[in-house]
Amino acid sequence: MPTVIVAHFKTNIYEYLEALQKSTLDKLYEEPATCLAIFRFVFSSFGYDPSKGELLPSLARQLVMSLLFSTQVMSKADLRQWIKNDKESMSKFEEALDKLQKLHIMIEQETKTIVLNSSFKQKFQECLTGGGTHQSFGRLYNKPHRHSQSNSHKLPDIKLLDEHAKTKWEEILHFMVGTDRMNSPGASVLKVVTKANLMREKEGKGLEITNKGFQFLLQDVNTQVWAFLIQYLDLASEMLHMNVVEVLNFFFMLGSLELGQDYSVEGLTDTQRQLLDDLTNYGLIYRPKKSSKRYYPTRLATTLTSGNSAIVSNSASSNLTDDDDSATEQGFIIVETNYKLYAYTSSQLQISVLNLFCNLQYQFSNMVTAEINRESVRKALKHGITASQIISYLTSHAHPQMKKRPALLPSTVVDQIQLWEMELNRLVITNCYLYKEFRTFADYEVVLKHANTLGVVIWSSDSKRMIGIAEAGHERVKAFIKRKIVQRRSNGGDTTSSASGTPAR
Amino acid sequence: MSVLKDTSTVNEEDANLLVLIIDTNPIVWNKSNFPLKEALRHILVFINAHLALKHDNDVAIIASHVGVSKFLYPIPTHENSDKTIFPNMYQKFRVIDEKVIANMSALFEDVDTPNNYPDKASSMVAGALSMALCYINRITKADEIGHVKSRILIISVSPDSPYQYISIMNCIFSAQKLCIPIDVCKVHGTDTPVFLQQASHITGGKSVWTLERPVSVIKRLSMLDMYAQFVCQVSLI
Repeated sequence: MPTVIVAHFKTNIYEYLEALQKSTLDKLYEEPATCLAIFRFVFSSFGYDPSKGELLPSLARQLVMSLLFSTQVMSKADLRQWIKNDKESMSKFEEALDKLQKLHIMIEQETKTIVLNSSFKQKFQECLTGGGTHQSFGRLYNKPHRHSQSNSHKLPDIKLLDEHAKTKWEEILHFMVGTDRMNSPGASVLKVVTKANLMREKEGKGLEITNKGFQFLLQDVNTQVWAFLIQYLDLASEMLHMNVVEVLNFFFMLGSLELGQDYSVEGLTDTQRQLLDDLTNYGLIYRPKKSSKRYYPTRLATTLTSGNSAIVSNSASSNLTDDDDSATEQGFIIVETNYKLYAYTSSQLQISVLNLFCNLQYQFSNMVTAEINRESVRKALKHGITASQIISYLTSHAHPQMKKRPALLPSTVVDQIQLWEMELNRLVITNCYLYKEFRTFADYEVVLKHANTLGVVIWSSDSKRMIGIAEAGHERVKAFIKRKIVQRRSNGGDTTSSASGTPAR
Repeated sequence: MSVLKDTSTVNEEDANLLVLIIDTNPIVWNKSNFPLKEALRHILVFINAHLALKHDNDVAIIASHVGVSKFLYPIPTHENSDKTIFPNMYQKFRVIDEKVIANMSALFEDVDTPNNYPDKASSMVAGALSMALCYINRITKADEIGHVKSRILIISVSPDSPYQYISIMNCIFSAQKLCIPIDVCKVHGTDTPVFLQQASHITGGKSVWTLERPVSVIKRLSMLDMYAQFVCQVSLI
């Protein structure tokens, strides 16, 4: 049974920022838009494990906010007084403080006082009070549109921007899933995708998707976009020698722009102008012409720092104008208790994603029926997709009708998917050395005690007098036994009681 | 009937709705050494800070004036508001700040209603509270997922009016039923506001009396106390 390797999506922006140098972080905090984006969005990625990370972001935000406008000097003990005095709260407080220090937002000085990073403090204050001349929230394109009268150039409205974003992003996803499309995405996309280990080179025939790529497909759009952008950042700083600070500033600024508004490229640094082309390819920006002096952010860009809920509510409101049925962009799956699944979609991409873990049965003009069974889920598990990813995909794409039930997905289906995953994990194989045939119980005990102090015992059985020793400890236990044998020979003189265990693999 | 939403479990995905009731009695504000303009500046920064915490956070502002209470934000307008983008400020902050200032100026220009009202020393807190509760009720009903958690903050300067006692108590009990905490911040005034103190006590909100040094106190103290409810499991006392 091959062991399933689960790749965690460690490509979240907090971990990327944590790894930067302190001086880089200081420079990053000089733009108010960046401070706001980090405050809102990066803090949300603090607790990567959702079961442990609840309220950690809120606590961190509250700590920063409290220090933001205060003029008093606070020490760690002062801050601790604000927290309820039980163990769990204290540990969360320490964790939040630690994460803030890693981001270099809170600095502990030699005098044991804790201060906010001075440039972060100043710029965030400016952000909240609206001061400064930084123009960090996007420079408007002030000239009137030259082509507004002619009909060769239509002014992009929100619908056009959405379409553009959707086409470009789905192009990338289609390419990963492997549906036959005419055009494959540009070279920079291919580079990012291979670097992120989402796809790898197959001998001679191009790229094929990896386990991590499968997991990527099941994530929500926001996580996907950020994972992509972070890999792009790595690539950009290594190969293209772009200034990381400027690139990050641009990303965070994009998150605060208004949809449907055009912004001027003046005031963007050279690095940032280079970015514009690549970002157009990913569907984050729309430009009327390659050399145009303005750009329009699409919905993918404006919801960059807003988290998931923004995309759901935005797409829901945009679809209402389209006379669609009640299924929105996000919610189109209905799961029944008999493991049957109905997906109200005709998008090739979504059907391909469903094919990863369901057994598709029939396709109608607006709907696809499928079944979740052991084989299909096992196929997904073998590709490295976890049960929780399948369940969260189904939950986030559940049809609005499903939300009217007490529990979103039928508990039978959820439990069964998890049981199928546990089936694969029933056996865990560890290599070890088996020590058997101890002549006397005393010998066995001596060796067992020594191995226990070394901490290398994997299994032992008193009745059978056998010990399983981990590979790491084998040499030392062997040496110990040999020493004991030599000791006994030199002590006792006769060899009758000198038996000890014979190691067998 | 409406189902009591489970407001005890706090979720990271919650959107917080803050309804701010500002007591704008001009006579009482004139008497204090902390002018309304200055206080308004602090309040706007506080609103921006609240909006900055999360993308989904929302705010509603009601002015409790002499004899009348009015919504300052959001007001449904029929004309297309001008879309000037200000590059130095986050758009959402700016829009709200401008609207509040514009509507408050309009409120102060109307001098007839306050003049005709007999009790000029108090403000229409009961009316403002009822409007706030109705607004929260509407938002909660429209929100299907149940992620909007609301709270009310009253910034008060004028003393209690005995005529409003019953109305205020009714509002307090409705807020208690809907699990909406009412926080009170009394900026100026020598007497302890009994009704508002009861309001915050019954609904589980916080109350702050700042009788000396009102400057910047609104900002700091409000921020310290306000989110205690939501961060309560861990939290700030």
